[in-house]
Amino acid sequence: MTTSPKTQPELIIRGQEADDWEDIAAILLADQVVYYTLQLPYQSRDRIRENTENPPATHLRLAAEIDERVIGLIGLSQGSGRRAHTAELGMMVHPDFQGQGVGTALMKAAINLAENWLNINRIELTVFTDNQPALALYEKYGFEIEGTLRDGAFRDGSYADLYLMARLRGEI
Amino acid sequence: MTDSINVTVRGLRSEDTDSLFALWNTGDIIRNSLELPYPSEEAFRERFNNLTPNHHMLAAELSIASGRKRIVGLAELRVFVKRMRHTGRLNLFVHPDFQRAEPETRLLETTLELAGQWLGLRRVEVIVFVDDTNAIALYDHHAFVIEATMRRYARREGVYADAHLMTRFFADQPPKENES
Repeated sequence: MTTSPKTQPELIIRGQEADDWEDIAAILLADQVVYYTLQLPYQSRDRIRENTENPPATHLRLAAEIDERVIGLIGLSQGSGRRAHTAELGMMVHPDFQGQGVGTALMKAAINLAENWLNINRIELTVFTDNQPALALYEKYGFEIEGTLRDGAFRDGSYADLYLMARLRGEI
Repeated sequence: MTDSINVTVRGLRSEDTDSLFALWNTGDIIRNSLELPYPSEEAFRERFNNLTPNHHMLAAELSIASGRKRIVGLAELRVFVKRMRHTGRLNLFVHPDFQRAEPETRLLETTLELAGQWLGLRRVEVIVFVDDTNAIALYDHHAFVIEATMRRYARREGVYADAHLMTRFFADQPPKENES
């Protein structure tokens, strides 16, 4: 007899909804997420709820969902004026779901949205220089290091360096 | 040329907006910044009269022999928040006649003193287009270093232009005892 293959739960990428706020709080407040992003620890869940319910108009957010739970986020913040062709990207995946292709799925969707629908020409981001998994993902998707911001952000008691990275449409 | 130029660097005042508006439409000020052409006077007034506590504006004022005064430069320093609150972003706007001259130097030095000695910033960043050699030389002279070169950073006269991120770094200073 053959056993039926174990089905992988389906990974869905969709727009962020107001109802997602509790799952989002669980991601934002995870120690590892705080450490490797620019989030602060001890954030108020009320504030996270408010921010989830009322994102700024220039800020687009996508959620990754498995089994009706949001386990990853990616955000695009569009520039304005002479920088309207640019967007700043930020992403985070719940530590329990890293290394399972969630980041890849979010990244593909965000690039599609930015370049094929918003006509964004330059996607930029900053990343801690020691965040190897994130760096590998960004490099795989055509982001190049444009420079290093020495002591760019404060983290757990000391300053840490950031890479400034960008992906240009049409050069990949 | 008179050598009796008298420059004062001071905080911006609400009555300065008219002279700032005139300054904006001078020479390459818009081209070499991230400002848009055809500014609205109304929006301008709003912008410079509603500063948040993290936003500092210094003006370089020239006293002319006749007793008249004139704004020839503006420094805008915006301090970041939370885990980047040790960093500020500087925009410098100086009338072309007074670039590479005392008003520009005094304005930049005073703003850096505010940033380092009073706000305790560790990093002051500026964005300069890669072909703006005058600005690059000015910041280089004041110990800024190029940290990044950003491709297609902003639009300028119909094309995407590359820009450098230049940073002036302030090292930790040992705590000093107050002299009694």
